[in-house]
Amino acid sequence: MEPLGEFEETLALIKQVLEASDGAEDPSIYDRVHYWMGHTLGNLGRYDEARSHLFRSLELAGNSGNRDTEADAYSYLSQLDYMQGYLDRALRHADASIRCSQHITDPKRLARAFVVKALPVAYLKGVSDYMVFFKEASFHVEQSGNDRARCLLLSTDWAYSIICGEYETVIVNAQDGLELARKIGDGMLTGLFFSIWGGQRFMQAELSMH
Amino acid sequence: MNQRAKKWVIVWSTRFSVFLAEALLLSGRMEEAAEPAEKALLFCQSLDLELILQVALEINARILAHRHPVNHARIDQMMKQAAALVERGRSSIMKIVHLMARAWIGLEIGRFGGAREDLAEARCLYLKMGLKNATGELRIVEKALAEAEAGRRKAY
Repeated sequence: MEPLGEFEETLALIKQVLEASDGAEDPSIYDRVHYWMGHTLGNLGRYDEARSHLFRSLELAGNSGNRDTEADAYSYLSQLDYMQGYLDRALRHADASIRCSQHITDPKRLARAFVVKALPVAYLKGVSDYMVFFKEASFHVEQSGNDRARCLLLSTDWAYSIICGEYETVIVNAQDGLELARKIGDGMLTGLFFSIWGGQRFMQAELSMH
Repeated sequence: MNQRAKKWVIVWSTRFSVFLAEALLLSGRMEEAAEPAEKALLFCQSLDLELILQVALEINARILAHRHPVNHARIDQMMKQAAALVERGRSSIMKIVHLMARAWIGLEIGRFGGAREDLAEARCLYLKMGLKNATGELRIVEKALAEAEAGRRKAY
């Protein structure tokens, strides 16, 4: 479920799932359902409704001990706060997401949590503080080896560079980002190739080349 | 899966095209900015991506503001569409992005009064966020506007 723009359809689908629970929500399943509901509503600019689902998700995740969902919900709350200009709160929620991700030692989530924190840091802290934080975030992104987190990091740095008037940095980041998006696309197509034609056939082709 | 994978790449490529167009525009490389900007706008319109669509519309309007003769009607149409997205989105950050774009356009086409109002409103929103000094970008536009106004006074 990437934010690919099919928000209304997604919303209708999740609504059905929520209605199907008849009020008896299994925390191990519905923590995720509420998280995605919050995420989708947030993408539609329905922030208050989004928040109530994210808080419900946190409540259920607390009951089921699902730290993955907690990390994600805090991370998205931070993004909503940022969008509405509640920068201090955005920082606090990003920190909570980092703590959860550290607890479950999930490098991808940790990288994303750091990237999410970079935006409020860019506004609230000075240049030097941001640069220090950006280095730390970059380190976690590299550790995670996650290209999508790299995309997010590049776009975060774009926002920062724009507000600081550092336009040359934006050009470099945007060009890197375009290349990265293409690379990720190639990776996806390779994956498709595997699933369609079967790994064995691909391996044979690879072997015959050497 | 195939469609979603393709779409993911298009979404991110579109985002980075918007960033690239904005950076080129701000660096004064107007003609280079036009291609990624138009491409991004095309994709944003075909996808249901309002946040990026808003920025893509604003960047294209800003590029148009630099062309002569200025197509006021087209610029206003694009900015109106972007404003409607801002209203729907209800995000303070995106509102500031919009105000800054309007101020840049006002500065370019000589609507200085409007630009000043937009900058004042953006400053107010930053203040509400606890940012007394706003941002480097806002200060750059304020300075450019003050210089343009001084130039106009001198000309009179």
